[in-house]
Amino acid sequence: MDKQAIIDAMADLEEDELYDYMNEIMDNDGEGVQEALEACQEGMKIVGDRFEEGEYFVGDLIYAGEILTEATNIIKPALTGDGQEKYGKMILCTVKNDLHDIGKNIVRAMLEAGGFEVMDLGIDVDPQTIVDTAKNEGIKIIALSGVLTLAVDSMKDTIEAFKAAGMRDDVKIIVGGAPVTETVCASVGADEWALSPQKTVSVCQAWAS
Amino acid sequence: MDKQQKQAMEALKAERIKLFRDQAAFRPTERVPHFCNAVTWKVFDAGDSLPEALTDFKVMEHSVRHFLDNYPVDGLMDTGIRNQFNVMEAFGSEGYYYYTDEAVGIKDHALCTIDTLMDYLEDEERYTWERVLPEKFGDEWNQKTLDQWKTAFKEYLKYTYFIIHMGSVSGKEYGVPSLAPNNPAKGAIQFGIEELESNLLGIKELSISLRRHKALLKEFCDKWDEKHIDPMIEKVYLSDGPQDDKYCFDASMILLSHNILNPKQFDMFLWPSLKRMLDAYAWKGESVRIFAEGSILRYAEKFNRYPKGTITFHLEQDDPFEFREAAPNCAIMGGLDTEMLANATVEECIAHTKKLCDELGRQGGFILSEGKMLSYKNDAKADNLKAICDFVTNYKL
Amino acid sequence: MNEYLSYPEGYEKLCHDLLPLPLRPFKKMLMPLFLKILKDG
Repeated sequence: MDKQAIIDAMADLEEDELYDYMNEIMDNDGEGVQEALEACQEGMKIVGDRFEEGEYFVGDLIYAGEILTEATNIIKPALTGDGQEKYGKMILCTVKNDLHDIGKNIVRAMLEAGGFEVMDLGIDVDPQTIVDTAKNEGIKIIALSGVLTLAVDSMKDTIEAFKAAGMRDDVKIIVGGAPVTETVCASVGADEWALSPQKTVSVCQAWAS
Repeated sequence: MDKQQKQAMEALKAERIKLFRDQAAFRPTERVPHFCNAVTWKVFDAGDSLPEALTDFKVMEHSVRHFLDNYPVDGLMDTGIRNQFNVMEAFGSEGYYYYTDEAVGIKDHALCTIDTLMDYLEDEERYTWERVLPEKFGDEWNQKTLDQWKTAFKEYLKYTYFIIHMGSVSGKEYGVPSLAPNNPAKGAIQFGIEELESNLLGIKELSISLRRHKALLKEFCDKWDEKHIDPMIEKVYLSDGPQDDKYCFDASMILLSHNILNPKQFDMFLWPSLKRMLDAYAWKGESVRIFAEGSILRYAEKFNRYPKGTITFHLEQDDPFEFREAAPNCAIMGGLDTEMLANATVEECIAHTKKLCDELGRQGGFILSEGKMLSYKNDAKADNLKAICDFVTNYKL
Repeated sequence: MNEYLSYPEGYEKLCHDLLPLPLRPFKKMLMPLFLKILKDG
């Protein structure tokens, strides 16, 4: 197993090459599967860096998320399930009255590559569902996504619902998406905000550490 | 309206067109014009119900008139064009568009797969008839009766008349001019990559296909150009030139795909067609408004090759000051964001508008507008918008 | 079997049955936009 080659294949978005490496691991009874997964995650980090530098753009991130998922599926049978998600569980969703999921899905792929087990609640998710899930699963990190300006109201409603449930101080909440700015973050009462998936990952990692 | 009032409105419309044209061409004007991007927000502001406004032309007309009576804007982006719902309803089928009490939305859909793209291009009408509509309407499709077709078509005609009627109301009764000609030969410009993203494949499938099927997509875009863009370019070259007295711009287009394309993909899939089109407008001395959804700042300097007066960028999310630095030859439409309109005080809104007029409009090259469409009821406070409209109407440069 | 399903015959027949006489000369202008609303809307 050539770890650097896997990192490069993921970073360069060489889909066929990446799948070949994954299949090779499975042909060898899963030998080196843990390192392969780490290599994919490292490659994904480089994808994020290239996005920040302007070499890659949103379409590349969508594609990267797609091939990372597929690569992980290939080696999944050989993964033991221990220590894959070192930062634990978190919630991600698009808030009520907003059906956009592309940004959310990019962020999910990056968060998973960044060591989180992401509970993706989907789109158009009402505040109570988010609060109940956090409560039942004991989750402390919540990422709320939205594209429409209407989503800002729903983000606020969601954070109010956490307050009403007496849980606001138990969770950290990050908001992200097109209408989000520093002012919006403050006005909805979130702890952090992000426009790039990279920032979302680093903020959540810092909270989880 | 008596004859005198009609003449006054005609004169006001002409004055406004000149203001837009002058600012777009970087000619100093007495004041900065405001082309307002209020869409369904108008309905809430008028106290009307959104579902009613979207299905009853009289209600939408009330919303639009209420807006024009209360906000002295120089241009208005939307006078009811979202009212297509009755057509689908009359057809007895659900469409992709839907509405609630608060919002209009569209469900995710794609008309093609990567395998059927070239079939679509080969004969769009046939593909639509044989593939798209049967798939969209499922079992209902072959049960449609002539009566259903006729009712839907009647609603379509009513919708068309309504659009024409509202254009006439805006122009004749309020002196508000139209943005650009709506003639498909010159007005409706859709590049191949844009059609792939918006209708044919959707954002996710296109993003993946840009890597997996690059050559095929390139072939599609080239053939799309031959079929749709080349004839338009030819018409521009053969046209009489700027229609200074009729419209604020000679053409209008919307760009979205730059939000997913990386620089290499931008150069391969969008820029060649876009450049040829813009070359034609520049050659004819015509003025084009480009609505750049999301952010186009990183590609801004590419457009700076065109002389002042050719391109006006309507910026959805980019900062206008940053954009001016990056592309000083492009005029800017924008400057007002929903965050400020919704949350700031009247004084803050006026201070910001004054700064925009002073720094971007004094030498020409700036048209005040809302970047994001005002769609939902909390997108703006009425007092803020009213104060901005009054300020910009009276503020002399 | 619906008589309008085939292309181009069925489609042409529909256009003929749908458009009142005064509008028939405008078929090429009216029908594409009508189809577009049904397709995209």
